[in-house]
Amino acid sequence: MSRFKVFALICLFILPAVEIAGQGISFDAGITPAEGRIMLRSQYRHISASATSGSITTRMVPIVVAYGLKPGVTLMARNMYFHRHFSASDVTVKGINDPYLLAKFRLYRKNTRNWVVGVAPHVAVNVPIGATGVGSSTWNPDLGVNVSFRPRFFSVDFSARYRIQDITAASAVDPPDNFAADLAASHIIALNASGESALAPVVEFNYFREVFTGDGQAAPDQLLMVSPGGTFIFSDIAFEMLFQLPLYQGSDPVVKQRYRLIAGLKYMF
Amino acid sequence: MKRSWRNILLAAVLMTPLALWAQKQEVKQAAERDTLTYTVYGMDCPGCEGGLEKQINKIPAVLSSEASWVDQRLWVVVKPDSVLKREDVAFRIKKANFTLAETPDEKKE
Repeated sequence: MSRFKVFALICLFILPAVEIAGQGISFDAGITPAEGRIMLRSQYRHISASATSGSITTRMVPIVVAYGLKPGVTLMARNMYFHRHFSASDVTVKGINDPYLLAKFRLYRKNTRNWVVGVAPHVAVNVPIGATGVGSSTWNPDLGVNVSFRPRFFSVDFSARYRIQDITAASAVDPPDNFAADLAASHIIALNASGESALAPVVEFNYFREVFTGDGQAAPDQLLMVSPGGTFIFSDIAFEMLFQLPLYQGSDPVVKQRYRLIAGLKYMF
Repeated sequence: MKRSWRNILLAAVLMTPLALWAQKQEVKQAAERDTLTYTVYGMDCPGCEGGLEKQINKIPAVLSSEASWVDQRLWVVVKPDSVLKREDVAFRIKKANFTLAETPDEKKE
């Protein structure tokens, strides 16, 4: 495979997959919101990575709308503006990504005086609308499960998902599937007696791994990040920030991740 | 004659805030008379409160509601001359994905 094809493959499939997988503070909890609840969320994501020939800087602005259709069913739509710059070739790729649609279902939920447990699987897919610049132009469904355990003022959230890239085999090259898992632990501290405002420091571990379904492929990319951050909540508004640092990136990654910064705003009504 | 009109005007100016204050107190007392308190499990952040209040306020007999995730409490102000059924509250709490505590602890405050 020529260097250009390898580079094109990285740009089209591997980098977006890695970047979207390290979802950080935005991954879905195992708890479905109230019926009729609407959530708007936007973030700014700054991703710094390096290749042998230079640095790669990516800026993403995802916008998410979620709606509690039923107490046990949440619908979510996400799209994002994507901007990437390669320093070596001074090339910039930018545009609107494919829309991503998700449905989350409450499988189990138990509320007690001292703890809450929730398990919610999800099905999702990106819709290839032929968006310019960064859309994959393929159907990439994913299946996942989200588990939350919340003992009063603490919370532990776990999420795992498997994404099938190009399920219809529409593209000339067969991109690898991927698996991602996130684990987050946080402590929510009420800042006043009424609890209207609160602070929730969090630490997350975000893991991503490529899964090759074809044969004769290279070693899969892997990425494990540790992510400290926090959320400030005032009534129905939340400000969130997360800093992601790679702990492990496989033996010889094509693109080496440096750090990621996420700053976001969430509004519920 | 002129002086009496001035006295009436002065009395009105002085009495208006007093009347408004009295009216406000009456409304407050009426609200307190018709406030029910429930224990609700499952709220774990300030954002949960709004979701629950939105559901509770859909009950026709409810004038307003306020939830507290810290205290695990829900306060519901019932409309005058209305009856709020516990099963209606339980149904709406369930719609918000929370749980009404088993022990009936509704009390008027």
